[in-house]
Amino acid sequence: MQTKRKKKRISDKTVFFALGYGLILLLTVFCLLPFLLILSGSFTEQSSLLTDGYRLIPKVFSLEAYRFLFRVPGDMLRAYGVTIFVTFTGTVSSLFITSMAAFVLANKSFRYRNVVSFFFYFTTVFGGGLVPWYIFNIKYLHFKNNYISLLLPLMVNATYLLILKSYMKNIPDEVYESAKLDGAGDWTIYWRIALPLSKAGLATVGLFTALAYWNDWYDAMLFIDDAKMYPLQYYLNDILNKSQGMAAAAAQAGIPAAQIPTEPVKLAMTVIATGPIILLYPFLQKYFVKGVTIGAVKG
Amino acid sequence: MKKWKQILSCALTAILVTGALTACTGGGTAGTSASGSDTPASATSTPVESVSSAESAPALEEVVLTMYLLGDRTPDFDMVFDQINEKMKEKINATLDVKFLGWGEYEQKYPLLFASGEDFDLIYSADWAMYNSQASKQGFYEITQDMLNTYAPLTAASIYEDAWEQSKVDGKVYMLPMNYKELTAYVFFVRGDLMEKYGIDKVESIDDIETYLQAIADNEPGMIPLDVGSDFDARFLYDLFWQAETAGRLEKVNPQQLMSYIATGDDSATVFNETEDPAFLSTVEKLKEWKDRGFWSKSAVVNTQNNRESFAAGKSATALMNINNAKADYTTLTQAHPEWDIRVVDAQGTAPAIVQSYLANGMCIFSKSKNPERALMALDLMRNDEEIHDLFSYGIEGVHYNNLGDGKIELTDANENYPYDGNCNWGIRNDAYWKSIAGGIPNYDELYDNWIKTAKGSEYQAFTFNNESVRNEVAAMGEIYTTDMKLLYLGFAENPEQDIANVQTKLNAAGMQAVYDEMTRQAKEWHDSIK
Amino acid sequence: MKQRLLLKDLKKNRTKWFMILPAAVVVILMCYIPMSGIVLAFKEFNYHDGIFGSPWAGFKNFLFFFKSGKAWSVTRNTILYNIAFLTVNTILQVSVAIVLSEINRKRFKKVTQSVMFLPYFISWVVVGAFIYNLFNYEFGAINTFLKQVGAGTVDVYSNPKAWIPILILVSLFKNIGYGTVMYLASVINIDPQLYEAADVDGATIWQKIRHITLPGIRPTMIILILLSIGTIMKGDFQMFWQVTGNNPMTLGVTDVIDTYVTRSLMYMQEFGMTSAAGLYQSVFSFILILLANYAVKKVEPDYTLF
Repeated sequence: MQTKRKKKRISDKTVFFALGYGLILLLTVFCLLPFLLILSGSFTEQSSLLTDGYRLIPKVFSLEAYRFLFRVPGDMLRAYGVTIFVTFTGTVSSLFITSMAAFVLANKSFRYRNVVSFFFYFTTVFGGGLVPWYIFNIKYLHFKNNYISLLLPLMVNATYLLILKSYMKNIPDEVYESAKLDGAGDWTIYWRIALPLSKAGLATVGLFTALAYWNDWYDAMLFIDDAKMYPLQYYLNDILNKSQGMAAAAAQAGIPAAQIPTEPVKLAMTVIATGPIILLYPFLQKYFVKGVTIGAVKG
Repeated sequence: MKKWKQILSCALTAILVTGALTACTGGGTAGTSASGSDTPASATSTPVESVSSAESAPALEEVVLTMYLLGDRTPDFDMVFDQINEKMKEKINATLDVKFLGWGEYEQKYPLLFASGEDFDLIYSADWAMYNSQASKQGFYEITQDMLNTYAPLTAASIYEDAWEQSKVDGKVYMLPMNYKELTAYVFFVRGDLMEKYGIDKVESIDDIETYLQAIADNEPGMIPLDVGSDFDARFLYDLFWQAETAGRLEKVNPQQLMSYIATGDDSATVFNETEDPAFLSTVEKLKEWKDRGFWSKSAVVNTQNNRESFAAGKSATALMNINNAKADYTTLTQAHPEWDIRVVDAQGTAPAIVQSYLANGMCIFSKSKNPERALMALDLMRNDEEIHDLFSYGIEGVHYNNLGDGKIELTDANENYPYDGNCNWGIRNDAYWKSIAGGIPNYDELYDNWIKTAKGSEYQAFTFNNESVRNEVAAMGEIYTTDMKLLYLGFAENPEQDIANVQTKLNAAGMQAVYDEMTRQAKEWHDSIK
Repeated sequence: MKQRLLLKDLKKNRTKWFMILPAAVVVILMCYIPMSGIVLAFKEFNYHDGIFGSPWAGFKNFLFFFKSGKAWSVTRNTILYNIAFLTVNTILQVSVAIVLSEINRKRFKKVTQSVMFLPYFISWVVVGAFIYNLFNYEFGAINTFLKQVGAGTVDVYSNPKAWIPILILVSLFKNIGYGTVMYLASVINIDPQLYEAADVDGATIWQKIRHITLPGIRPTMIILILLSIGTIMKGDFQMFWQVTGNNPMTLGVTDVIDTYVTRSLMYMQEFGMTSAAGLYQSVFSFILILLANYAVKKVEPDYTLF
């Protein structure tokens, strides 16, 4: 009986891992292949890309896309700098502000937690639309050519706040109770206990926030005119849009328009924008290891 | 009429002179003896501090006018505008601060500029770039004939009468359109090397093109004969076929997405849908036939590359484009691929070239501009001062181009830093000063001569439809235009007759009749008014 | 009475209220004040009078949406796609998160996790170009392959049914890495003692997943599902527009509210009509989320959104 059960357990594990590895490998290939094609495509000459399609190895190798995007290398570097600054500042302040609120809302002793949660949630469903938002920001918050216009719009995302709240709810009440008995105030509990215990949650929401800041070009499009303040994604989008929009307008108004290698440029943009941030991810992964949080405190 | 126009311009010159001499004395009663109190300017009653009317005639205060253009600041833009501003300051004591709305974003940002009431004075506009929608929402400053006479005397004297008429929306003018007659005519690019390969010795007519396309479809499996379908060129062939059938018989009424026509000479101006004309069926049938013969891709409706790109990449054997783009492409392509031996073929056939609406390019004044009069004066100079016009349009002589005389110029290497006709100067183009680049398409003159002989614009080109009362119906029709109609324009029809009937049912459900009733009413009113 | 209670709480829990304050201020500035612009939906907007001064239009701005009889079909498509995405994505994200939490090979985990995140960075425009390169009738990779092996060709762009699985797969592709992280963070929060106890009892790995892991991540699942219901009326516009290439031949199954509204208003700058369409989506979503939240409250009062 004993041996039989053990045997069965082993085979269970084998089946699980066979399926598990299979699934992960399949998804990895599914996600990797297109990216490799993009990488290769970004090094292909436009005409070859149009006629031969995407290939794993470029048929006609060319650096034209990168040359086009990097024609002013200083601007590109500055755009990287702006993006890193905005992403870092934005993510840190957003995490701080959001986690404080999430901490309070996760706390059962806070009587108005549902009402306040609703107050935040409501903003994910209803919005005033672009025009009023734009007018308010320009007129009263002076967003034009101001980094605040890149920081503030993404600062508090109600969805992330509620997700963080649900992670913080996992912290057992007794942890708080005992801290309270030791005379700790709300702030101390938040800073000393809640934050360290929700590292995984913070890492998750922090990652999403960082990605949102990193990828945001829309706010820059609306509010930033000064080319020196362009963040990376907008800088790249702007280069491409310029030439595509020009071609479209050229059809209408008899405006002369030059042609550029749009197809490889699109792909090269993806490569340029993905590189640095994807390197950040492995550093966060240490927060996603089983058993480092609650067990550690309890034990 | 003419007389007091002259008097006025004298008066204005006087103001300008004193203004230039005694800049910034503002509000003084400098006693230029203007031409009496019945000046039209006072009738416009615009409460603006400085040059509000000729009678008080204070010196011109120095102002900075903000001007929005579409596109990008080219490398030498500021250099050129420094020179323009020098002249502007001298003449009207104003300078221009130019801002750009990028091509990829102007559609979003343009209306936002108006909505947020940002401080600006001048903006580029066109019938394809926001003119109607902004004008009907009171976004632009109304330019009256009187204002024009007072503040833009040179324009008043030179503007084409049709151009002025065309810019009216509900009888009011909000734009100074370009003073430039432009032909829209299409050409095919075909490849001499392929012609030779398949023993085709001439490609001159649409029938020859058909033979050529068939030869490619039969023999070049790696090529798409004509790679149309993108938003840029989905309608090109349809337009050619349709115009060949209906020219001289039907008059097009803008905007395009309402698919509306009036029979030539119909004094009742009854508007009807293009699908209702028998020529529509035959056109769609012909397109379907071409499509079924593999002249363009079965996936054409989702094509994102335009046919110029495909042709340049060697993916397709033919390109179809308007003559302006052809001029630019011909030069680059013959350099890159001399072995292709590109031939430029007239695509118009029996369809006359179209005289573009003047509204295809123009400049407007913002309704909340703080200095509308000065903005108008600045526009007047940009359009009519040869030096300023040329600077804006072609850059600095000797730096960006060399003048060859006879209205021809040649470009220098530095031209790419201020490309010829490429700085959103299109709104101030003026035939009187226009210069074209020497060289280019070899048979250009011959083509042009052919077109100019028959070129005409629609009778209703100058009519602008105000859709205010039927906006919902217009939206619903626009939706059908981008979907069902797009399929028909590309010959994607299982059974043309049936498909056309289906579209008509949808259009009727969308409220087409209500739109056309309103359009007929407005068109008739307009038609009667110009008689 | 209620007010007195609130005042008392404001005083008693002032630290807590202060901790909420910054987030609340941002939300008020960025969301609540501009929200007053919803009135645009009922206005005939002009620049001169501005948002609040423009004349009222009643419900006129809503009409275009119902004019062509597509309102129902696009609403249905939007909801069905969101349900399909939610189901498929949740199942796979949870599976991957569980498998990753069980695997001990660090390098393997790091690499695969990072790779699954890559698609998140590929813009929809590029995804669209990709799809076009796959399915283009003459040049597409699929038909080229089919021709090489001597099979017939397929015309995907004229086949509406094909787009349902394509869109679901594309959504999975973009979101797998992103969603997995969220569940992973939740799995690793489960108390390890529970697993140890199960091991002592000789539970199989499947039993542990069923009785410990899945219940452990239930709160996260519920909250994420609730949050998705709140956006069920909104399609990812870029995704539908770019991936299908705004193809008129397949609109019956690929048209969602946002793409339909965009096409209708493509040639007009009608802030009021855009606003009206947005309001329709919001009100509908809001009713759904109130119902869903109420249902959760009945069963699991701890897991509600609000």
